[in-house]
Amino acid sequence: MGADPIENVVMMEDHDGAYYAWKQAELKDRIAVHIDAHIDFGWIPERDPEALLNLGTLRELENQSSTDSLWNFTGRPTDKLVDLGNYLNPALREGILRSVYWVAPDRFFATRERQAQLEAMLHEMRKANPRALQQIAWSNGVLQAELYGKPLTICPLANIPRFQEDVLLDIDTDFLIINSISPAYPYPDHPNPTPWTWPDELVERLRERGLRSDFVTIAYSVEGGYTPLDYKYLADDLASLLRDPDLPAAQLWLMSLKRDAACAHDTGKFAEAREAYERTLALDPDDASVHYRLAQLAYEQGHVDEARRYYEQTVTLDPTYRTEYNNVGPVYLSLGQFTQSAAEYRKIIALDPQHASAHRGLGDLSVQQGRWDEALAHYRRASELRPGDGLAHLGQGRVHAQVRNWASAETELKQAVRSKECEGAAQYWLGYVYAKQRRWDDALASYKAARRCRFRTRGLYLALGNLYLRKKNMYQAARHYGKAARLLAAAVRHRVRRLPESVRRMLMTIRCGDATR
Amino acid sequence: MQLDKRLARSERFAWRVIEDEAVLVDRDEEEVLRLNLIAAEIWQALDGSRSIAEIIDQIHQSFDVDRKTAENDVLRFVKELFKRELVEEAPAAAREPQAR
Repeated sequence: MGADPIENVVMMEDHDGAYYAWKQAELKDRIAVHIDAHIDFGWIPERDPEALLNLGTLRELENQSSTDSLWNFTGRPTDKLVDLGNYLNPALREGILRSVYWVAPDRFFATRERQAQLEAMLHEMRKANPRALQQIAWSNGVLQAELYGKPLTICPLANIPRFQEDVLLDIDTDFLIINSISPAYPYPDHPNPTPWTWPDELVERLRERGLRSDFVTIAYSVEGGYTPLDYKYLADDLASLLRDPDLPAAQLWLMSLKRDAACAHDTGKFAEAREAYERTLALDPDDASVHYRLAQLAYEQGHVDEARRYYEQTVTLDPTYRTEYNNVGPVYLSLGQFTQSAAEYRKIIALDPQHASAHRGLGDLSVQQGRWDEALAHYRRASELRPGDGLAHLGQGRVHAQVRNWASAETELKQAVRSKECEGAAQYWLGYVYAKQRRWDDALASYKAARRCRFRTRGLYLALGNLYLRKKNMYQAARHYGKAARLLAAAVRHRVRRLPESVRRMLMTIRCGDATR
Repeated sequence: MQLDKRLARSERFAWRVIEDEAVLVDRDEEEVLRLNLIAAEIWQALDGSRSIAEIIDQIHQSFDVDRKTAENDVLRFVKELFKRELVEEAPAAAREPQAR
């Protein structure tokens, strides 16, 4: 690694592309070194419950139904259930891999508490499929287990063993950025998430461990908010370093300049950052990532026209930069940080007034703040820019529903249902609109349709509970209220888990104090 | 529950009888249900063509229970099925002409 060139370096946006690349290359019985901030070996609920009906005896039925809870009630074929969170799983079971090393960021192992978090993650997984995940134990600073009877090892870079063969190196760019299971996890911390390690450092550390690979897969992981678009280029740098360990000095110099610029930018040293970016552009005028960072920098300094020019240049050079995730508005929104989210969306609209997703994001924000007229205007703009955008129709439907404009709400929501993009949510809101008009049977049908689409929220179960109560079906009412309560309890547990470490320690102290009194 | 009512199994289930028990797969609720011997017999009879009274007669004759007990058991079970939306009123086409 870092000594010999590697010919097979496959790049992808979503990390499950690695599984398909391995399959296509007909790889078998290999060791994977999975360098990532996320596990990617989650379970696939693949057991068809209707297969139970083919069993001959009740004893067989009991045996089959007690082994695990990974039933696929969706009716979708198993191969359609493979995604970026579970692709290592089929790769192990199909014999592509015989062993997986998950190399997690260093700070995941920094304290006993962090190590306990990792172990707890495995024990939590084991509950759903106890036969497939066994023998979870720490040994010399690495966490080991057996996954489908094959060895799974979780370790930091420093504990990668010295393999006697070429491995499949499988890297997610977010590994370079996300260094802890912080409250923002699975996303990086914001603002200004700066890499904790850089491609050249990673390659050097792998080289020190004597790692050799003949097949490398690298995921950008920008869509979804894991790798900030600012640092998407690190995946390309990694690929360059692995493909050609003897990169020309000029290219290495360019990487180093970009790193200096990014560090200066992220720490607010704008003049220094600008100078470094401009020097890199002088060396490589077609580097979209630098145009993109300069667009951000110019905007932060209040030079909107200049920022727009850099942005236009960016998306001309690389159209993938015009993505929903070219700003962290969606991430801030999901974390409930509305002010920061709005600022992000406004920035991207200033740079790219045609950015439909950003208009929709502002619509979502306005809904959160109860500013209905504003929300409607943003959603309408998003619809104009991207006709047929189901989420924009859903947004408009929700706003109309909030202001009791039932006919318009129904029209928009039916369009959202037809788009299939957000059918479950649209059916839920249709149910709400019908219920408000006392169209009970229509409401029930829509809520049930939402449930069939796997839109299973607390709100949906409460609404179903209320409808059944109205129909005096106490059994179904209680059943749905129960489901709502269970979801609420799970959400509370999740929030407690996300409390900062210091607060959790305080809670622990208080509990200990109570116990001694 | 009126005894002349005809109920039909909901079409949302896949089901089969295994060793005298009915096994039902409910994809919406993500559940697999099992019905015991008598329940399975009632379940199979709920095809929309028979009235509840006819099903009570069938249970009374098949399981060597007095008619009152059969009626209580069938009604209790059918109400349970109805609450769980496992059965619904049979469409008119499935019904025999009503006598006046």
